[in-house]
Amino acid sequence: MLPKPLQRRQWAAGMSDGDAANERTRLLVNPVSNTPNIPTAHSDDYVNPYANPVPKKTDEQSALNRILQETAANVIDVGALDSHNLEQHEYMDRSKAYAKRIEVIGVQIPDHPPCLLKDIPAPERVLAGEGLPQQDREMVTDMMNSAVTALSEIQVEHKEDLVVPFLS
Amino acid sequence: MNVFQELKKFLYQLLNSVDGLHSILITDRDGVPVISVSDEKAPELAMRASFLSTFGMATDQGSKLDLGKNKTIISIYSSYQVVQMNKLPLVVSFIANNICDTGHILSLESKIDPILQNLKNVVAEA
Amino acid sequence: MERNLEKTMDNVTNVEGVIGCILADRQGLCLGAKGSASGQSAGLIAAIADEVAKLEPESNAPIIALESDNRQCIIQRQGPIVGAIYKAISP
Repeated sequence: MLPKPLQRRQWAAGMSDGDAANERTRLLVNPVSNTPNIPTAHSDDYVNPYANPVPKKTDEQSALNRILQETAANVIDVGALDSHNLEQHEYMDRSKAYAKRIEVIGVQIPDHPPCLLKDIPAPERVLAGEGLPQQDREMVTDMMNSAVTALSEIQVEHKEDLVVPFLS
Repeated sequence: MNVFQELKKFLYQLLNSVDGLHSILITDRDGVPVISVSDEKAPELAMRASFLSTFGMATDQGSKLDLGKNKTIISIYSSYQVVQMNKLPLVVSFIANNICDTGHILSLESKIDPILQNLKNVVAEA
Repeated sequence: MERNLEKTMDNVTNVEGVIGCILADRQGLCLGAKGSASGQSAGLIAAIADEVAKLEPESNAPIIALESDNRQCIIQRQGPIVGAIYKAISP
């Protein structure tokens, strides 16, 4: 399983996309109220602003679930690629329904794709004209020769590690 | 001629314009065909919903590579190639032989796009 | 890595009258495009080269020139690469 690097950093900082990081950003966001980057200090707990009530168990559970879901959404999970197969009759029903709906809704079909070549008046003028000049032929052949050489010289350059530690 | 047949004719024109292209399938996410055309050489297995529907999941996973949303997946096998385009709720799949001009298949995208908007409505409301 | 390929294309694009060039591989996938050439055309250019080559299967790869009123596109395949040069032509 490979992490999605950028998302992973954001996840590690406990943020959802779009939040700006600062020193008050909590590592684990309270899932119930999403705004309290600053502790909500009521006058009566002013003395100890960090004595927040312990979150209820369900809150904790939903927080964990949320972390789990976000992680699952950001991890490339090849094992989860199992497909569910449709029942044969469901497949047929749906396919038939689509065919019917095409008739009902109607589809605007574009005009015939234009041909690359088109008829011109007096083709003999073009046919009798000069062929491709020698210098143009040389230019394209030279380009192709040098391109073939260049392509055969292509090599992968090692720049950075392909494997990075997960959640470090 | 009804709309369905007109649409097939249009797709057959595209199919015949690329040498080595055997099938064009416009399906929903689960691989159920909305409309499809194919020649006699098209491999039957690759046209099944169970094969085509794997694209839906693969494109989701592929979008997590930090390269943006996945648009196209090209799979080249020993004797066939499959080009699938993310047009969700539709998926457009092209099945061709392995030596077919992949770039030419990709260039069909701009020709097929105009009919997709209407077909999306077909799938969305069904 | 692909430096020499870039250089090849730059050299051609610098020739007077040339407005762009493009290189495609065996599968019609774009290796590079410069100037007014678009990477989207790679597949079509490879397809044109292959179709035209079928006219004379015994001969070497042909040079194909497509001409419009003000542009010219010269295409050739050589081994694993198909290349095209776009030129502006003065009437």
